[in-house]
Amino acid sequence: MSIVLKTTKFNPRQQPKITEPSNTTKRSSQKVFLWEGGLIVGLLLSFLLALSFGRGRFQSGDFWAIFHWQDISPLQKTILFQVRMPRVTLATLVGGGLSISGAVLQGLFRNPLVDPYVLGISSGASFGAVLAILKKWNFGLYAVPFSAFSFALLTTFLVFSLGQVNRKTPLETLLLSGVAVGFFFSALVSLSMFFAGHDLHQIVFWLMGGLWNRSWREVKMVLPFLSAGIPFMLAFHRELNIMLLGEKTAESMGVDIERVKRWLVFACSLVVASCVAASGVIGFVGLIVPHIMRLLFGQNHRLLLPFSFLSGGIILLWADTAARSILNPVELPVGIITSLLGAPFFIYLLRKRKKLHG
Amino acid sequence: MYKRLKIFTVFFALSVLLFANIAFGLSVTDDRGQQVELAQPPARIVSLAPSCTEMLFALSLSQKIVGVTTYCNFPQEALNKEKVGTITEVELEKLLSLQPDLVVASSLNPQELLTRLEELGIAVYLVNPQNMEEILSDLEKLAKICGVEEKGEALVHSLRERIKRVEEKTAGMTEVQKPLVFHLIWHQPIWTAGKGTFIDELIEKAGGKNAASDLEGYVSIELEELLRRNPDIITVVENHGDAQNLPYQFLLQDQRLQTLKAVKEGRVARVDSDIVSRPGPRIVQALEIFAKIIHPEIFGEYRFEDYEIQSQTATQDN
Repeated sequence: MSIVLKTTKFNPRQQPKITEPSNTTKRSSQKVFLWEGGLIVGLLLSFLLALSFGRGRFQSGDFWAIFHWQDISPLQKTILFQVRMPRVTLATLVGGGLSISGAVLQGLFRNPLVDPYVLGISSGASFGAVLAILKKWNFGLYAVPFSAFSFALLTTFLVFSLGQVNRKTPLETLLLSGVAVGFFFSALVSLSMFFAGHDLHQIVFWLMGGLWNRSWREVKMVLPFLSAGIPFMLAFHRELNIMLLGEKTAESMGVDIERVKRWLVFACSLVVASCVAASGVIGFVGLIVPHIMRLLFGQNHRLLLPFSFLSGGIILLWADTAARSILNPVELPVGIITSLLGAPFFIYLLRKRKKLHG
Repeated sequence: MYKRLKIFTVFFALSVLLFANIAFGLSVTDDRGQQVELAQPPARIVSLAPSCTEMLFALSLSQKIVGVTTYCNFPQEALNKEKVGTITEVELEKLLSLQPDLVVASSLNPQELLTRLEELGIAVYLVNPQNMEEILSDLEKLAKICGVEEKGEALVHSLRERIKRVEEKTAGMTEVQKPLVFHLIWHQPIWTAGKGTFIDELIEKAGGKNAASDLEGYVSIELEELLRRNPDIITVVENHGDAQNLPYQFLLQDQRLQTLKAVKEGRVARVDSDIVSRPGPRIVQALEIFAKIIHPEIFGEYRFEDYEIQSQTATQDN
């Protein structure tokens, strides 16, 4: 574990200037602009194309059919606007939210193995969900996500208070207390599963994570947290860049690192908690997508954060489309798709970059 | 002459002994295709699955059952038997301490456990029926290995009569007379039963069409697919003792499902999970339930509560 904590994949040479984008020649800033625009357009196109995937009138690839409003039956309308659209929207938001949180936390902790779940958030949320399932808390269909969300936040506060030493929050301590609390809640989840009986399949499905039959309700659930949390994270891109040089340096450059840490972790927790509550535990996106973006565009957080959000959104959107299309009408859990397709791509990029730089 | 008689007597005695041995020894091939042999009818039986427990009780073997799993909640008597763990997590030591001479297992039990039991010299009989007919023949075979062959025949005969009573009335139905039935097991994801499942067989025999009969086994499908198939009737599984029943709530509350024909016409019926999902003798009751749900005009009104009372033995100990 200690090796992991000391290892930092971030190459200081890739970070020549601190307050300004790393490679600010005119040409490359144009290139960045193109990429940014490309990703936004890509997301929009993906969104529309994903809507056309399925059976019946909107057949896979029959992209233009979704623009023919006039001769659309009520059933098709329900399918398009009440089933596919909220699902695709939620996939984009959850993918983007997890991915940008991953980018922020990896930058903050200067550790490539950090992901949005490392602070125990997913384990805490899982335990909250399991508790609601087993205790049959009866406020209808909302009980499980609500309980998951509350426990995710509770876990973060617990991790924070455990990680504090002399009113400071050393990152290693915070990380370790996150891991420890995470393991503790995982153990509680396993224990509950052991005694779950009839309710076991419910828990298993929740832990698998997925966007099956999500409605606008879940979108409404994550939207306030994302629209508050993400601009907040983006606003901290300078501080994150400076933090890459180490806490000591950052402090001497006038960054109130305690404040930055506290607020950023808090923002990430809110975003991740709402994502987990809406979709269960979906791995991979939060850990790997920021790395892919870093390999492609470097470490500058001014680009890394929005790129991570956009590409995370696109990737989960397509993974979910694949999950419901490959064996259509049978559905697969989306986490399987992300890991199955994403991991080899990531390894390919990693090896290619290693050759170039090393 | 005398000598001959002596030889004959010895020969006769030997053959009597030999035949006696075969007559008292029991040997039946189980669903693994494995020959299970017992020298005499078992006196101490452990069941490792609820369906096996229900079979054994139906064969009036309750006196001989010494151990069951924590999931075995039917009939009521099963609750008072010693527990040897869950279906997948069986406490080997507990099981051995009950000194069974026969363990009746299902395909849900871990194979390693069964092998281990056989290594320890305990006869294991595996029951793994794939359809209703196999449930009946399994009941007969189980009766045989347990030395209650006649009881088994009588039970199977009466069950067969009940099945016939349903089938006679649905057999001549045209496609138009068969409503489209969707069986909802879980709502997130939407989980249903396709071809090759007991549910599919029950719906067909009860005079309906399974809305998921183009799919194989138990599958999760897209919500939009349920909307598109628009069934006439929806059956929803309910674990008994679970007042919450989320899939049922989902059907009644989610706005998008209010367009479904079955929901609009109020043809959404709850069915007890234990009755319809266990491959045991109660499968015949499940058939009668489906018949009532699908053709109330022939078989009479179905009320969930009528069947709930019978199995009011929930083991929700939390």
